[in-house]
Amino acid sequence: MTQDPSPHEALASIQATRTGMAAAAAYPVGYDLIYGAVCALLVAAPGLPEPWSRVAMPIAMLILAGLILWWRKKFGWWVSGVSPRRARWVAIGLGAVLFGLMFLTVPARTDGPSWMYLVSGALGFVAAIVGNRLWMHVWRRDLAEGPQ
Amino acid sequence: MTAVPVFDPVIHAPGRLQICAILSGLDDAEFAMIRDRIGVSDSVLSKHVKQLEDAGYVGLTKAPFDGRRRTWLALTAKGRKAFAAHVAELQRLAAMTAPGRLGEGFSG
Repeated sequence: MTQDPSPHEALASIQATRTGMAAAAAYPVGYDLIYGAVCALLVAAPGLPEPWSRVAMPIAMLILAGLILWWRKKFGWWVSGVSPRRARWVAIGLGAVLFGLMFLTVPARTDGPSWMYLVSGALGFVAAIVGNRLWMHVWRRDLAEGPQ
Repeated sequence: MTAVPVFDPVIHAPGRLQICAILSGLDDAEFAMIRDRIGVSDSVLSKHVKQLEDAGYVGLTKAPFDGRRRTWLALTAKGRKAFAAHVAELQRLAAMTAPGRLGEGFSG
């Protein structure tokens, strides 16, 4: 590209750069599994027996911080779930689902069934993995389609 | 929201255009990652970043990470607005000059 690119050249350069960023963001399935486990722990924590109900949430937050550090180290960049224009709605939707699952866990702690945290945790695990992959898909489309 | 088209000579240079393109999709990115992705030397990237920083388009954060002090770059709100306006102007110009399809898909 010349030092004074034409509009077509400049737009092509922007699109290629952004699409290249999206393509390079390939991460292992292990990241999904750990992220799913963190979300499962967050959802199930209130229903866990003592003392696990008190320590589970800080543990989940520590693992989440570790995931962010790992991502920054591996890729050299970061984008939060709610930053991208369209992908943010996937993150908000996932947050709503996880929050809703907590309402399965919390009442069951006193009213039973005592195993409800296993159900909500399992659903949280699956929702987090599906939501994470869906978020990445929408974010890649955001990148390919243009700046926000 | 559609940006008002404004041509920005600070952003238009190829290196700075690519830096803004990378940062526009992210919260922040490390200096070395951007250098490797656009294929320039440290000094060339530093000059581009300085110009973007002087224009108020890019903010720098230096933080120890993984045992080394690293520089992270992020587009400021002013920078995001300027980049969106510049892209809108490029699309307008591209639409005037040819019936090509390169500008299609950009929503600015």
